[in-house]
Amino acid sequence: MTHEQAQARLVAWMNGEIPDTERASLRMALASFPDLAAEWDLWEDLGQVKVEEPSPHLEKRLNAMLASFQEEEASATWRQAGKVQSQRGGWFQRIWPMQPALGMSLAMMCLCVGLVGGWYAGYQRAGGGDEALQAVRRELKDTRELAILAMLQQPAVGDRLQAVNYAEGLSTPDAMVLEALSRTLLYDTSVNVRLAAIGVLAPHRNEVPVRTAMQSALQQETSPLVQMELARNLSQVDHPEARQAVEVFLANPDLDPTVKDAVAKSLQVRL
Amino acid sequence: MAQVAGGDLDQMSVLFQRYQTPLYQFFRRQGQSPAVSEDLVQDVFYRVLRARETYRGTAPFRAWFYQIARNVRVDYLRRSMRETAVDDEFGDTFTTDEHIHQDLEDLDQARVLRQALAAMPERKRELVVLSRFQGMKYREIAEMMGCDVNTIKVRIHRSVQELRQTFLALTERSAG
Repeated sequence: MTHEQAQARLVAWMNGEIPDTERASLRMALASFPDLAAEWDLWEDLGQVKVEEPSPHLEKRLNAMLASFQEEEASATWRQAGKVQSQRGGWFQRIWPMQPALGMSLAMMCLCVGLVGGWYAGYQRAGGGDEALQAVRRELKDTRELAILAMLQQPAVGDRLQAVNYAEGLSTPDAMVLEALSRTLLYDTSVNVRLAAIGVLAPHRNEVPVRTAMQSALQQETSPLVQMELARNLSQVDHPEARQAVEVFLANPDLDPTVKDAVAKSLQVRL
Repeated sequence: MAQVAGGDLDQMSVLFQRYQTPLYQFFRRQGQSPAVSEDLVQDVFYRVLRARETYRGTAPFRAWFYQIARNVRVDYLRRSMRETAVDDEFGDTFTTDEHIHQDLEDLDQARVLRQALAAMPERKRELVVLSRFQGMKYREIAEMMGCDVNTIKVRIHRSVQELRQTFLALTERSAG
C-alpha cells in the first residue's frame, strides 16, 4: 500500500466507511506510515473529549417555546381570517380593528382619556375639586392596566416589553397586573421580558404571590442573568421560604460557578 | 421533520428529544458556555419552526438542521462582539476554555486535546466537530457547506493534521 492509498483509507475510516472487520488490518498497515498512524490515534483519542448533557430544564423550555409558537401561529391565522373577511365585507369590517386585544385596548384607553379629560375640564370650569381629580386618576389607572394585560398576551416580544414598561409606571399595580407579571416571569420565552418583569415585581417581592412566583421561577430558570436577579431579590426578602429557595439554588452542583460567585459575593450569602 | 413541515407541530417534541443533546454538545464543543448553549439550542429549534416550510424532504435533514445551527452560532458571535457590555457581567465565562471545561474529566491528554481543539481556527474546528463528534458524513457536510465531497475530505484531513501539530506543541509545553 502506498502512502497515498493509505491516506485515502484513513480518510475513509474517519468517515465510517471501513467495516469493523477491516479496522485492525488497516491500523497495522498504517504502522508503516507514522504520520498517518498518529492521525489515526489522534482521531480515536478525540473520543476522550467529552461534554455533559444539557440540563433537564432545556426540554421544558423547548416545550414552552413550542406552545408559545403554536399560540402565535393560531393568532396569526385568526388575524388572517379576519383580514379576508374584512376584504369581503363592507366598510364597517374594513375599519374594524384587526387585532382586537391590543387595538381595542389602546382605542379604549384613548377614548377614556378623552372623555374623562373633557369631563374633568368642564367640571373644573364649573368649580370641581379633589374628588373629580381622584376619579380621573382612577379611570386612567384602570384603563392603563387593561392595556397592560392585553399587551402582555401579544406574541411580539417588543409588545410584551412595552407592557412591562407601562406596568413600571404604575405606582400601585393591581393584583391582576402583578399576577400577569408573575406568569410572565415564569413562562415568557424571552429573557429580556423576564428580566424586565423582575424589575417591576421587585418592589412587591414581600407580597406572598410575588415571592412564591419568584421562588418557583428561581427553581426552573436557566438564564444566568435572570437567575442572578431572582436570587438577589429573594435574598432581600425577610421570609424563611425565600432564604431557603436561595440556599437550595446556591447549593445546586450544576449551577454556573460564575452565577454562584456573583450572587454569593454581592449578597454575602453564606455558602 | 416532514410531518412538522406538513403542519403537525406536535411532532417537534420528537425532534427535541432526538436532537437537543447533540445540538447542545455541538455548541459546547465549540466553546460556548452551558447557559449560552441552551439558549442557542432554543434559538435553533425556533428557527426550525419558522423555516419548516422551506425544508425539502429529499434533502438530508441533518445537513439542513446543522446549517441553521451554524447560522444561529454565527449570529450569536456577531451579537456578542457588539454587546460586550452584557458579557462583561460574567467576566470571561463565555469566552475562555478554562471555565467551559472545568467540570469535565481531568485527564491530562483529554485536557490537552481540548485545548488543541479550542486553539484551532473556527472553520477547521467546526469541520472536526461535525465529522468526529456529530457523526456527520462528508457528503452531508459538503451539502451543508455547498462544496463537493472531495474538498471536504481534504479540508478535514488538513484540519486533523493541524490539530495534531497543535496537540504535540501543547504536550511539549506542558511537559516542559
